[in-house]
Amino acid sequence: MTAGDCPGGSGSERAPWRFLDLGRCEPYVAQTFAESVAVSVAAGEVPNTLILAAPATPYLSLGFHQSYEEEIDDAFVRARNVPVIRRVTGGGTTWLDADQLFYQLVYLDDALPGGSGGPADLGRFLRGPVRCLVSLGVPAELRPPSDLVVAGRKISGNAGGDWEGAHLLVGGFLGRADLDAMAGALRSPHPAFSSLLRREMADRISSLEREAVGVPALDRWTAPLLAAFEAEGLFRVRRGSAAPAESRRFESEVRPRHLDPAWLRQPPPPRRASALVRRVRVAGSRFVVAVREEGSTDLVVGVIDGGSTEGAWSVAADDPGSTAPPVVIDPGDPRRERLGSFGI
Amino acid sequence: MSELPSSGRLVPPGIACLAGIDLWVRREPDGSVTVGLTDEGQQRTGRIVHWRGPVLGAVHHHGDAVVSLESEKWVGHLPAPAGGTIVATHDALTADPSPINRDPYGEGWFYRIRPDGSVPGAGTGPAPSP
Repeated sequence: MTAGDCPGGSGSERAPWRFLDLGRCEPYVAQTFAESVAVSVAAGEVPNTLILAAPATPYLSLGFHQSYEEEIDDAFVRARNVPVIRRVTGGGTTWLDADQLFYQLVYLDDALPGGSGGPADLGRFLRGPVRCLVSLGVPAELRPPSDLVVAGRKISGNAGGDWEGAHLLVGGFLGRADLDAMAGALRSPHPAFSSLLRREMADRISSLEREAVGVPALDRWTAPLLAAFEAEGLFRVRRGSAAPAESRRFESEVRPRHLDPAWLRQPPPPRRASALVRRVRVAGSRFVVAVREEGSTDLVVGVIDGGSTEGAWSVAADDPGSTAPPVVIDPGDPRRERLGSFGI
Repeated sequence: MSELPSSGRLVPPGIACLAGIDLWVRREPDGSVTVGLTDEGQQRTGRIVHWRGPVLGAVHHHGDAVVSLESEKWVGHLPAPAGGTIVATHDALTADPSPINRDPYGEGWFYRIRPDGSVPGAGTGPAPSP
């Protein structure tokens, strides 16, 4: 890219970003160290910063506005002995483990020519990870607002937000998809819902392993991703290290906040009266949904994509241990049409 | 005088849009100040799926993050335009944040604060009669 392509100068002409390579680290560092960095970036003490990290051990990440009680299967958490961390960015609950690589961008309003900040940043910055995947032989593309997909299957989830005066964009590459954990960690109103969710994830979520690339070693990711951000004219980096103040702040403020039950277990928001029992976004506009049947305690579980019902089944809510198969609800049945209204 | 921001929605009389933080303020007759998201702010944020407001009676400093908004895949934290005490919150937005997009200067209001001092755009006294 030339300077003429990009008013304000290309990424390679602007001040370099700091590159923090946290390597494989414990979950709280992998997920939340960027919050401490945000304070320093906002104060102008350090440059805009790109962090790469990978969790050494598995954990669950709850979206900023989600309710632990509504989202998380406590029995699963106890059985796997994994921490749950409420992140400061949005989106749904995610299972994260050592087969994933995180990139976290912490930056100010002037990070991009023409200004930055807000949801539009997702599409602009994610050109880097897309290019990186392509360079690794994975024909990925952006599915707005923030999923990277291969042949329609999600291989990277991303989210953004503002924190402590800086902008954050966080995402990761899925090296290997542990679908049992991804589906099993989520609270379910009925075994049929869990089963459907697991099946949908298998259909809609990909991984580098699935794309026959394998899971590259951590240090094999770095150069292609850094090169991709620069080649897209977004930014170039200079390797750096965490400032002492960032490390101190992480230990004295960030980690304690995340360990505080008051932060993790914020009460669920009040809901409008609704028949909706559970809704989980699988990828893009595709949801697995459970709603209560009108005038009955039974549930309708189904798959909705773009507001259209693609499959629906009736299950007995008062007998979740039943081995009876769910009853298919045929097209034209008003219960099936009603289900579609809960997918938006 | 009403303003006509670039998004095209008319700003009602008495409302002042605060540059750079996407908030509007309006001085109420009792001296409190109503706060909400500007039309440009809601357009930039996109369809809002979660809203969390301040706690009634809480005391905040100027710049404290008192509201969080989530659109699809983006969370924004909005600062208090002035220090003071929260005297009303629009809790209905927690269950249904759609008025923020639909009617940002009306039903989409966030909260009212009794300011400790002056508020940019809203002065220090009660609002003049329209």
